[in-house]
Amino acid sequence: MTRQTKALMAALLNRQIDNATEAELEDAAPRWRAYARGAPWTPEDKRLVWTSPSARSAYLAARREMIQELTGAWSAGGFTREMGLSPTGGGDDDRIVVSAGVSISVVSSAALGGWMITLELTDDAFKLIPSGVTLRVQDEDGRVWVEGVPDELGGIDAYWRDTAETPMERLIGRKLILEFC
Amino acid sequence: MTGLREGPTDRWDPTAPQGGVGAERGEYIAAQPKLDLPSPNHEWSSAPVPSAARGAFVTRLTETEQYWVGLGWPRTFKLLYRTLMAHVWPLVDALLVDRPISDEEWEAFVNAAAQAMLARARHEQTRPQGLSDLYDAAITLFADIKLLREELDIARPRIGERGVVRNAVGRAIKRMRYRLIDDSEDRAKVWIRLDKISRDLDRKQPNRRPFAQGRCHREHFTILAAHIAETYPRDHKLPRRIATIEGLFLDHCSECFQRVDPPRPADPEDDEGAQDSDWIPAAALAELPDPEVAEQFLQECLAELSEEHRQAIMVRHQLGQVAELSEADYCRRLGIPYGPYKRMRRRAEALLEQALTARFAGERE
Repeated sequence: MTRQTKALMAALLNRQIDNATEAELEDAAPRWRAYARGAPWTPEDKRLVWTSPSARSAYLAARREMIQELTGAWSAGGFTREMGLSPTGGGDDDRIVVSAGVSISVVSSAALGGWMITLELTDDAFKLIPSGVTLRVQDEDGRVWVEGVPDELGGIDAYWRDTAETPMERLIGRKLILEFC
Repeated sequence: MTGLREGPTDRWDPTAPQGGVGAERGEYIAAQPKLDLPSPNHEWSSAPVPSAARGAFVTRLTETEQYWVGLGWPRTFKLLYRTLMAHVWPLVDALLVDRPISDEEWEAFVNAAAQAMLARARHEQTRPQGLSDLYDAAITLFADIKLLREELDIARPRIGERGVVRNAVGRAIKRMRYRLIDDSEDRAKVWIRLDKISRDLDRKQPNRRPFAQGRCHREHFTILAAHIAETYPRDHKLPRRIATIEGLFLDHCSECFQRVDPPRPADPEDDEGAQDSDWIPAAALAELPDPEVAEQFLQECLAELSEEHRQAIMVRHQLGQVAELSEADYCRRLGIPYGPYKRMRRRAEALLEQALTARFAGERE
């Protein structure tokens, strides 16, 4: 979904009048927590969350709660969310960022005319991430390097098409920050 | 849900009930020539309506008309009041004998009052300092004359008491003003109050900007929001959010339309609406289940809208081929003021939201 389509969709959803009954919302309340942690959705709850602002709000609150818990568990597990250039990195085809739980490699791709960036989670870090959680790595100036839901091996790929600045040049003097969303 | 498309109304029916699609102001204006009146120089009388503007709106509210329903309103009110009071008595006679107003009597009244105003407008055009703009504005207001019939019907049990007819006429004229300003009379009332508070506040500013810059800047909206929160803490009809105030200005303030391009859609990451508990930021859509299916529904519902509604939404949200066109450019291209365009876009968004919600709810295949 493009940025513009998202804006339109959000504008339309924010116009909706809530027709869900109190009973429906109360009945669904315990399930939002499970959905936020990756449980499969039922068609009825999908319908409810797309048609009822209250249900949506409750589900998103459960998501925020889950993200908070995940952030706490990440720190408690000894993993960091701030990363810098690896002392051994810096080449064109190298693992340039390594921190506890996460590594980021940059591979030059002549076919794409840029670099392929791959984020990899260690097994113990990957186990903490509930299914459906999006990981975003951005630098201190807000440029997003990698964003997505990890695949079954705990990896996310992205492309760097900026020819004016290489990822390695960009990383000098800047840190990368991992966020859950 | 079906029937997203709205066809243009091809006849003006002064006896038709108010409310709903068939009662929209634009349609009355579009079909007004059925009155078969000579017109001094008024756009709705003979000018062809741009094809993209047919349907939900064809209102022409010029800047001068905006003045006459805004700052110049007392004079406009007086003109309409005198004109209507001079011709309303045959209707009152019918009500006095407890007989409903017939369609023939009503049409005769509308024609007589309109003829009187048009004659006066022609006369004003011949004067060097004539107020033909004022008459044009009054004639535009006249498009909602049916509100007078409503008010007279409401007042019918008390006709004969002192001041009842005068009050009914006054109320009808005020409602005609509200309907000209906005589709919603309540929103029009809010704008009129907000406009007055804003002007008063602007005058009191110690380092007041030169008038050329007007009130149409975010700094003023911010001050206005704070002023309303402080001065009218219990008046919840007045807007408090800066974005709401800005939206009202862009909807109704002709200075805003002329001086600033209407804003592009809110940044999806913008969290300004988060103060409303059930408000969803665009960035959170990806967290909902099956967003790609939702997008498909949205595209299907968009395709079902009429062309002008779809265009209005696409311009607003920078979608498709009109992505590079600002709303102001779009209005200029069609030759329509921003206010009517904005009203049409809101209607289009309402239709799209209804269709999309029905699709989500599984009411439509």
